[in-house]
Amino acid sequence: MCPGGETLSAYLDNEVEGPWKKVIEEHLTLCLSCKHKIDEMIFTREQLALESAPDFRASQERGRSYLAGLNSIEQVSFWRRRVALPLPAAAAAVLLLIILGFSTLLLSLHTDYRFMSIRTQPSGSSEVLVTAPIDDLERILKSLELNSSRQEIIIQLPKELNFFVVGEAEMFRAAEYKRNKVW
Amino acid sequence: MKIDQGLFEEAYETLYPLIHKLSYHITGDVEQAEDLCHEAFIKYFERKKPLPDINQTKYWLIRVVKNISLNYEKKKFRQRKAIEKLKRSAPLTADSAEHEYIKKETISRIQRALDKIPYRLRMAVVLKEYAGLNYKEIGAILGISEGNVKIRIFRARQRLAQILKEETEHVSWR
Amino acid sequence: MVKRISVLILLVMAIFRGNAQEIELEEALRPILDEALQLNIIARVLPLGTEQEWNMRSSKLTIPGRSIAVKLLGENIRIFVVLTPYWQENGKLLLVAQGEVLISEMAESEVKYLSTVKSIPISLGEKVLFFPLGVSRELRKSFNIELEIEILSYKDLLEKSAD
Repeated sequence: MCPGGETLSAYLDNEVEGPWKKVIEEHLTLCLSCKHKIDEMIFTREQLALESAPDFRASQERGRSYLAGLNSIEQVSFWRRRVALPLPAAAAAVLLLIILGFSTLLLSLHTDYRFMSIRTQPSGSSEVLVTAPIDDLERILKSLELNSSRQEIIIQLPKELNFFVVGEAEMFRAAEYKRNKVW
Repeated sequence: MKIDQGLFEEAYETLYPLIHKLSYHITGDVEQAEDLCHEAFIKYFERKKPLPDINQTKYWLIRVVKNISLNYEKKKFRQRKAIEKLKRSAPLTADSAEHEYIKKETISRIQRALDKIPYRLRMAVVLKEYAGLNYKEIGAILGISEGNVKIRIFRARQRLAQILKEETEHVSWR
Repeated sequence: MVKRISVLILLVMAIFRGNAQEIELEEALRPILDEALQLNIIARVLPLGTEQEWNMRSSKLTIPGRSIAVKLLGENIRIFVVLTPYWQENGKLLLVAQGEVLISEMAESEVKYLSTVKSIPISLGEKVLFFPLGVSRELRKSFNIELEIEILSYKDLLEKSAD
């Protein structure tokens, strides 16, 4: 009786218990078909082993300087967010943060902020990188939320429904979206 | 609370090569691997409480890579579908698809084969072959039983062997 | 209407909190009233096949540059959307929507956090749809959430109701 492929594969990984291991070993000396199967697995494994990943050092250095940059914002904890936006939207987002963040909040915090950078991608969209100590960002978000007089709508979603994230948040003009739907 | 700089440095120094390697073999893309890797370490940094030893840190980071890479995988799937759709609807704008193809060409045939097998099989075999973990450890990271790990690794090997074989035949016919 | 005006007064008071005493309320109210915008918001849970959609309507007054927060609270999800309208130089509005989502998806015990900033130039009265969880065209299984936002000039509304 030949062992199944899974057992052979596990045997190769040294994951078969003592007595069974012996049985398989013996079987392999007798059964050509199983010997062939396991040789094929060994071959695949060797090919995988020969495959080397690209050099990591440059990437490690980039990561290190990035982390060091974050670390130098006095506090050790940090928060990082990446949002890919088309340029006008990026400008708007920056504007939003500058107007709301700086004017209403930062004045009262007396902190040096170097938390935003914009990188333009070759594809034309740009990336806004927001980095700030987490406590302060929470305060920024709070200020966006509160803005001195609280204008808030709380909506209870229907119960016993589970929601799922299906992609990035999106925003359309209603007219254009309906047209897309018709397609 | 302050994070222990020494412990973090040590983890970064020691584990970056492994995490980078795993990220690369899972995503099959150098840039994505770097992003994934950085994201994982940032998450570790954000933990504030460093894990007491390097081994636990390793498992923790691998688990994070596994979690984030699933999002990459979903995104890749959507992109692939979008490219296919683009190709069908507008052959003239297939420039970017072609670019994608050329980029893929520079990736080795082994990595390409890994790319072709389903994510859950790839994840298991990568953790086995490139992180040298045993079934128990892999099971713990993926949240599945050892028996399941055994099956996934076997199927991954089967598929990889088949893909590599087909490719060889294809080449020899030309 | 009385309620609305009182909201506006509160708003004005809030803005001029520091030196409220020196400023004549009437005087301050005029430019603000002229500028005030009404945001009509409909939150919808998109239908599953033929089922009836679920929706909830709400309106808020604001002025350009001031945000309105919408919190959507569900069984496994908290969505927090901050909507801010701005006037642009070309006379159009720019609506900036900042979305934050905290979600625990069934199989996973972890809570996911997502955040985005989106913006769109629009005209008064134009309707905008915001999908904080993304748009699903294939996944019919999940319920999706949509916010329909319409921005109107409060002054126009007042004039219309006076006619």
